[in-house]
Amino acid sequence: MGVTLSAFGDVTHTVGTTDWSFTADQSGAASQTTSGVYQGFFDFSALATGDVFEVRCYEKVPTSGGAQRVVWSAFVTGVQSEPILATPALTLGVGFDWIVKKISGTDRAVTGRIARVGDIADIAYYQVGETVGTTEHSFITDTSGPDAATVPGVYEAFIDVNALAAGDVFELTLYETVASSSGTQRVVWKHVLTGPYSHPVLVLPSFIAGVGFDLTMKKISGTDRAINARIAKAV
Amino acid sequence: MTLLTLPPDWGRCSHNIGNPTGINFGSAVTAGANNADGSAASVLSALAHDVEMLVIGISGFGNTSGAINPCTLLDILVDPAGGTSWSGTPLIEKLLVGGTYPVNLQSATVGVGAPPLWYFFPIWIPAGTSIGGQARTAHSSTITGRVVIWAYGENRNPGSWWCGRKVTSIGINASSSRGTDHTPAASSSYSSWASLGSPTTIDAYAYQWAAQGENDTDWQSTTPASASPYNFQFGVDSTQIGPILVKGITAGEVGTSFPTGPMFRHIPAGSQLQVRGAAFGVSPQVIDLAAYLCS
Repeated sequence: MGVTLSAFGDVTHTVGTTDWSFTADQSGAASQTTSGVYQGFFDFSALATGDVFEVRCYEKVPTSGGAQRVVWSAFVTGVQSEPILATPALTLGVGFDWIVKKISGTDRAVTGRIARVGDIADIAYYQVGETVGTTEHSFITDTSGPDAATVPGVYEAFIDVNALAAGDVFELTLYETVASSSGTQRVVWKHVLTGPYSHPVLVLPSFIAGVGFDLTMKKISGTDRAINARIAKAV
Repeated sequence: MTLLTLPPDWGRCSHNIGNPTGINFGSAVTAGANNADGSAASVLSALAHDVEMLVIGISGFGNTSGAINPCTLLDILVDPAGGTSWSGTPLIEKLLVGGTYPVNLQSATVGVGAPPLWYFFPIWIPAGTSIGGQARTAHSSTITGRVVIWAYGENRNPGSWWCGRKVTSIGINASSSRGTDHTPAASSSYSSWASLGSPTTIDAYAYQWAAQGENDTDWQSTTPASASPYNFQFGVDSTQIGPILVKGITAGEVGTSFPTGPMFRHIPAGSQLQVRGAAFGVSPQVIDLAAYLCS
């Protein structure tokens, strides 16, 4: 897995209110499909009082037919004493982009560079598209869960909960086993999901797993909903 | 070892304070009389940014000069479309707000030294949403209080701050505009732990505690008047969670609490919240309590 410091971008552009793609150096979001672990670096040293800019990462969850949505965003406001914004490293490759746009203030010159670690093992090592109800559903086996996956790897999960509406409450749970021999699978953490989401793709930070892990979802209340989930395997 | 993490860095704070033109801070919300909801009032219109932290200040749902039952519950409403078509389910239901002092910073005799009652919720609200308030009181007439909201968002470091999406209110008795009644022990001793509401149904990660007052028109002067102040502990399995909630009932049908700030703790589904209290005086009054869990 080699490091490419300038996989995309490495350009300076005067950014206004329209999305500016730093992977394609164009107006409007592009859809990149070269998989890898990406981290963006953006230089906002030109900002002045009253300026607000947003950095967004777009990606698709299903490898076929999915909508490109915001998976991460951050806001940069005013004069910057720490002018370089470094994004988290994300495992991307279905249809992604890194963009910058102005929210308010004056158009400013922004330099962006996207670094990449590649090649990764599989952008969609696990993938499900399923209607989830009150029965806990495994995103590993696409059946009732939890199951216990034993393939070691560095994983990152993307879950599209765009179908959640007002009144829906779901629960997302990560399981793993600590003792590699005869250990018991237990809960690592839970998240309560309440619809609707304006940015409906949830990204779980990378985790190293493989003793007996699973990622599951179930409905607590509301309506059964169609959920797309994809777990990328970086290594 | 110290893990170097980035701090929250909110670029925006929307609010409804307005200019310093008088004593009427924030937005007026009129509580409906006789435990019936009053009309909804707009507090913040069409937020220009996502919100990760909501701070709510309440004042004026009490009476410093006459004997009333000021018990009041406040709903925080949202309209995701940015108007005033409020969602059927409030964002935050039934905050205990009764008996709060009117804030008057123009007079040396009314309200000075008694700040608003503050609630702190790390909760996500999408840009474009309007926020409103709706209240009900046990009093036989309407009471108009004031609601101030600080709404923080546009985080430069979005991974630095947790915020939930749902608030569950625990121990509410809407028919009397109260929480759950509890009698603290006298003379600075604590009462026995008592259940607050039913066991929780979903995991929660942040919380707020609340206390209101008596369920009558004589909050302070019931013999002996020196029962106040009260300390309340909230917890699970007879073990305290978080800080003590200090409640003072000082004059007329008003009181004040020490603000706690946002409080974080994993409270798993199935937890039975409990409370106990200690009064300074020898004849404690029945005080109502509630909890708000953020998931």
